Amino acid sequence: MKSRTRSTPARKSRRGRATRAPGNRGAPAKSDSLALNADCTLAEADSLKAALTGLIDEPRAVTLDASALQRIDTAALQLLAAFVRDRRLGGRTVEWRGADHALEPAARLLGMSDLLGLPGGLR
Amino acid sequence: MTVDLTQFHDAFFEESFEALDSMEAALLKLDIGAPDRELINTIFRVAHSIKGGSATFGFSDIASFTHSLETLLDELRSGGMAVTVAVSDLLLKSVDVMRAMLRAVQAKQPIDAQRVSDLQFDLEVAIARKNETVASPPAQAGTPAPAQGAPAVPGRWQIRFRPFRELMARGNDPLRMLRELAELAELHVRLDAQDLPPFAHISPQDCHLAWTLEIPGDVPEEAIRQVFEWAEGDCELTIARSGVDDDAVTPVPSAESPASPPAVAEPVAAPATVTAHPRSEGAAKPEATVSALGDSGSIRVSVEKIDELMNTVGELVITQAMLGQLGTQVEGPHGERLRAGLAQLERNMRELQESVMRVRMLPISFVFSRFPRMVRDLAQRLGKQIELKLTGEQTELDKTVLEKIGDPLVHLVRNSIDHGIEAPDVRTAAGKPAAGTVHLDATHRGGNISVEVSDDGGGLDRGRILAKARSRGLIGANDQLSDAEIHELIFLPGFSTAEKTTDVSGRGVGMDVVRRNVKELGGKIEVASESGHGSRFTITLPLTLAIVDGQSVAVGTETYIVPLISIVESMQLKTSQATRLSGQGEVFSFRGDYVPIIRMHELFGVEPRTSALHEGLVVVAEGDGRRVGLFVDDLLGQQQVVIKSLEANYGHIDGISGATILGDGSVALILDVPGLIRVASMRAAA
Repeated sequence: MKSRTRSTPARKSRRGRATRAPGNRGAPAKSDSLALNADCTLAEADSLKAALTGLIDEPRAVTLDASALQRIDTAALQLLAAFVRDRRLGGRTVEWRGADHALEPAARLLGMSDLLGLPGGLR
Repeated sequence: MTVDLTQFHDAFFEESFEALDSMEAALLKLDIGAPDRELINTIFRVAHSIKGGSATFGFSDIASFTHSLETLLDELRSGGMAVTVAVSDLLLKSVDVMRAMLRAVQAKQPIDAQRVSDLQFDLEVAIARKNETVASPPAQAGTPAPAQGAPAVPGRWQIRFRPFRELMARGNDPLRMLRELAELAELHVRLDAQDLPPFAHISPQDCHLAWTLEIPGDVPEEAIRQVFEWAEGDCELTIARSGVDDDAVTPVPSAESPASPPAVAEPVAAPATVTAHPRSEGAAKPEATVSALGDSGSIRVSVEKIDELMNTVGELVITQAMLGQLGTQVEGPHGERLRAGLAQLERNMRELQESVMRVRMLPISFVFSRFPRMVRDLAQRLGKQIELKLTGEQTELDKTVLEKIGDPLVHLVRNSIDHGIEAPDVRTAAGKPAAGTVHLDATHRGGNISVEVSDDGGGLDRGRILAKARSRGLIGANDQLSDAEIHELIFLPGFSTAEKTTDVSGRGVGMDVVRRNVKELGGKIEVASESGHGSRFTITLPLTLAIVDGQSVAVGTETYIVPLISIVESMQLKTSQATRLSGQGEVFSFRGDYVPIIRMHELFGVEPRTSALHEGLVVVAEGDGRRVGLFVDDLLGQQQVVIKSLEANYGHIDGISGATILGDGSVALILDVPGLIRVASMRAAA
């Protein structure tokens, strides 16, 4: 974890296969999707929040792509949960892509599947 | 905000090493075939907490290894595997490997990966063999089992886990903890997200969530607590057993209903009264809320802080001595009161000094505890039966002394086992029990501590020692030596009677090194031996290295301190008692021996008050088994002096072990008698 907390942004983008979904490239704030980095942990939580902030009021359905995700912790999941919940409270939706391998097991452990709108929660 | 976890590393390493020590001790107590459950739990807890800690800090090699170990221990705990000699050996080896890994990580050195993976493989093989017949508990990380409907286990643990905000910033991750719980048994998780603020107001490093967890009642409470061990003080934790497996609680893995967003703001409605009264829930056995400080009764303080305190107390002692001296010069009624006050101050100072010294004291069990393992391994390797007896383990001594006494003791114990204790058949033939006894004992004697290593083996072999000494040319072919003189021989450099160099003895570290180490601590070592009945080595050490009882002596205008421990007696000589031998300088007759006289003023180049023997005094001092007469002008008084290192502040000087500051503010040098004898004899020879 020590190495992760110290990893530089440059290194992060090398590790995560795609930092942004293709549609997002070069179009800040005007986008409807976000690809999560390989590492989504406390150390990266600030930048994750910044990225999500750009999407919170997006009128279109927002897609979160977790296919590159390898490590996630409670801090990141908590952010995502608040994001999804607030979108929903505002009557907007969030869709998931590639959430099954890393995100879902973690969310299930924390009892967060429903809050995140993931399958595997209470249906 | 980035959390630098490295600040917690020291504590982690320190705790882990201690934990490994206790794990080793528990392993050694483990009875093959009929293991004590509590001991296995202790061992399991250690592995588990090291695993958790190393995972937190990202020491993945250690975490992975301890995971395998833990799986094996879990098998032992559940009775799926029996404790055999092979398993016990495997576990002891694991302790060594974990220790080595922790040391490597601590020193930022590479881990010996081959050794680790070999042993890990062995562990896994051992587990796999047993698993062929015994079903393993659910273990796979990341696949807990929510919402499957609770099995009808009578009694379940209800765990209320409410992290404080800073929990995550302190390096704890609830996800990791819940994953560990899920590895113990089927875990039901219910999230309480009612405190989760609107997205825009979230501070990403703060934890705004809380959980109610349920786990089957057959999981030991200790194992659950262990998971939360690192979070202690950073969360509110209630663990309670609910007697009835109430139907309401069962299959609700998650609280909120996605269909009705406002429900988020409500405490979970139906099941089991969770949010409101965490402490009163749980029918059968409510547990106290764990929080704040962890173990009461002791705190961890860095050695530097204590040394600083010790140093300040040392300065205070000097100031007090100075005031004391001034006080004697004050006259009149105020003088009386001043002196009464000063006497009080002196008493308090002594108490303070003793208290601070006690802080640095640790029980010698810290050193003794490594012996059971060592003796067991050695006995196995040498095919001997050894019983180790430890007494006086609670005897306390200074940490510095403690650290340096370990190696000499190891050497002595090794010697006892290798050379002292005979093979079982030899012992039975001699009418002794087949198992030899090695006894380690520590006691306080006056201002000193004495540590004894004794055995009931064959004793020192006079004949072999003499033969060896003759072959080495250390003594003449026809020299007749007393027992004491023969015992002295074993302390000579390069002397070892081991016929072949084994990896047990004879690694070039001989008794001479043992004696030197003990000397460096200001102590001495003595031998007693009875042929056929065993030998006894006694090490006498000062309780502390920071303060010495000294006799101050005057030479000209200078004051020197002679450590009391090296003084035999002080006397006035008549000029006629001293004779000058050609080539050997001055000697005088002392109890049948001729003792050389060292004229201190000549040695140190000081202008003396007198150079006539009968006008001054001779202090007979002993060092390295030799006696000398130190010729000084006068004796001044006895006092405890605080040693200030010369080497640290100036440089090493032969014959001087340190310096101290006297009551009048002047500096006095503390004499190192053995060194002084060396210097003097070199001068005499030159």
